[in-house]
Amino acid sequence: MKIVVCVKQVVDTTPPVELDFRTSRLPGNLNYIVNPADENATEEALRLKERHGGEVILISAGPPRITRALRACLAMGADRAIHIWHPALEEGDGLVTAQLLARAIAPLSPDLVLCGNRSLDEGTGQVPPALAEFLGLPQITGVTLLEVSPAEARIMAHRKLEKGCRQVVKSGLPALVSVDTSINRCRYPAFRSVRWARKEPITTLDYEALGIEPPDCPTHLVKLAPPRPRPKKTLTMDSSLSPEERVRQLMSGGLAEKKTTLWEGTPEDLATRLARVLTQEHFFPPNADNPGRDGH
Amino acid sequence: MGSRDLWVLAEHSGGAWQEVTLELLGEAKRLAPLVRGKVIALLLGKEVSAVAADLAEYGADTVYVVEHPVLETYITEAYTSILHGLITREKPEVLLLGATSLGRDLASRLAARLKSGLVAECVALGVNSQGLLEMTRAAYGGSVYATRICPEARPQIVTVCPGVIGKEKPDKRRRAEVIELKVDIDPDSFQTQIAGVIPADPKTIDISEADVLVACGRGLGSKEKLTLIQELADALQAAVGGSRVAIDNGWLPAERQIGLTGKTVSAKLIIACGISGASQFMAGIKDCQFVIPVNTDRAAPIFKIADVGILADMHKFLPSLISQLGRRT
Ligand SMILES: Cc1cc2nc3c(=O)[nH]c(=O)nc-3n(C[C@H](O)[C@H](O)[C@H](O)COP(=O)(O)OP(=O)(O)OC[C@H]3O[C@@H](n4cnc5c(N)ncnc54)[C@H](O)[C@@H]3O)c2cc1C
Repeated sequence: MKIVVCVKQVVDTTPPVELDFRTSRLPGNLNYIVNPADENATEEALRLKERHGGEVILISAGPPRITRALRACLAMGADRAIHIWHPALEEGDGLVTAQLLARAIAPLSPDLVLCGNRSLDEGTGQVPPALAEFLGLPQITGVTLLEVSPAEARIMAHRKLEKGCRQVVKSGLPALVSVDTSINRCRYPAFRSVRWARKEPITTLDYEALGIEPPDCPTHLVKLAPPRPRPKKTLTMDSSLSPEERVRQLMSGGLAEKKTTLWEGTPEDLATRLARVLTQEHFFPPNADNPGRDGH
Repeated sequence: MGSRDLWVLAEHSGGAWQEVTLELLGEAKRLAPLVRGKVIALLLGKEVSAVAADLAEYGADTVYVVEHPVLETYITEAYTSILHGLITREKPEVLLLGATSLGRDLASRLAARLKSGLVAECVALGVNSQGLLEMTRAAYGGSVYATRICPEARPQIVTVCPGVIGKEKPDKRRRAEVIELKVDIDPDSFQTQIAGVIPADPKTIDISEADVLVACGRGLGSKEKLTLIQELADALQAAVGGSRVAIDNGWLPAERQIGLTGKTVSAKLIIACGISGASQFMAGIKDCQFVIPVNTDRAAPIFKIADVGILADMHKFLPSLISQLGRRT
């Protein structure tokens, strides 16, 4: 089986990234890591190779620093890596990246293309479906379990739906699958392969080598701004609180301190009181379709 | 020239609307006069025309209904081909989708086929002085909001995160024109097939997806005591999570860790037993709605964000609570 894995390098978002909003510049000391879901995609590819044989090719579109991400995934055990770069890519969005990747992947005629389902920094997951479209492949996104039968050229996948449900999808090969981070646990690379990966040559392709013009990006960035406080729905206000306290709760999103009275008493008393509250708040008895406060 | 209409892809499954569909309709109704268009809801499904009228109450002026047996569940190929056909024919100005498992899968594929612009996972929408949609989403893990426009390509495609806009009260008097559309689809030509849906199991559900959570920390004391946590979780059909201490001690597997280096959870209810509330743990539960700590230390920081704080020894309190709940069924 020939498997292509798309790898992206992302800004490590812990600690939070501080942007200078006057210049819209990112701080220079950013820490870049392999996008976690892409690492899982690499792991999944390596497991498939171990079981069915074949080749794992990594591909990444981005500035030269991105080769570090490729080397990290090479060290996990991939066979080779391709790097694509052109300065025009800097302004582009997922659609542009997908077009470039498609151009580089198509001549490889892989049986399977694996991606991470979303990136840590942007979190949009725009590339995999667009890439599948440009390659003319069926797609299965948000995959938590993958079974491949190379002999029949078929795959079966569990795809993440809302609230823990899974859709069971079958497809023929070739196909594109984007994986969720829960699909596997990544291996630690062996020291020997880290050393090898550090020296392994990586081909860099530009538009010329790919034989295309830089594609237009349909969307333009117009503004970067500090986040607004999350317009979070507030809980039903506790009428025993003072008006000031209630306003403060309304105004503060997220980790608002709540004025809680601690319940004290015997375990039995406390249990009776809490069971009553859980019932009142519709958490009990549990209702699989609609737990909790919805519907008020 | 295209129309100036705003299309909203409606999601209806298991006899209910996706909340975000109703949120999007309200948002489209608000934006419609600024874009000078109408709100058109698209409803694809097996037998869905009966519920189409609901969409009017939330803001749709017109509902396009497409019915076909293969549309019973979402399938990328069918949705992409139907929407691509309708959009190239009617040329709407805007297409809004929820950032759901469906919207995420479809929007980007469709944008690629239409060679149009997509801004995914938006948290706010506006319209600028030229009538262009301003689409704002979080970047760099949420520390920056980036606003983009799509000046030329049409439609302007957006996915919007569920739960950020909030839905409006339905207006029972609003009516919409319901138009049934016939489409040609040949399921035999599809390369993918849907083999079914596996319902969520509280025991295996990813904690980040769980609506109800019971979490434990150092106060649990030993792995044997986990049965207490599991019994409460069973009674509430909750998933089990823990602080890093619970994971480091080998009481729970790593994928159940809540917090900065674990997962962010957004449960409607979390009962946190024997957890002090270190900042790294709190970072993981900031999106939870109803927080109930059980702790012996009245100074434990977790009590600061409690809705109900239980000052008690969890090993005495939890058995009482479990038997109380047992008596109530
Ligand atoms: C870089 C970094 C990242 C980290 N990431 C995470 C993370 O992702 N998630 C995380 O959880 N932690 C994380 N931590 C660790 C964090 O700082 C705390 O050490 C940890 O959260 C404490 O776990 P705890 O509350 O279970 O234990 P403790 O802080 O020891 O608290 C135990 C609590 O149990 C109470 N208690 C004891 N006995 C009982 C009883 N019988 N009944 C009721 N209550 C009882 C005590 O009063 C106490 O409040 C991180 C730390 C660092 C430095």
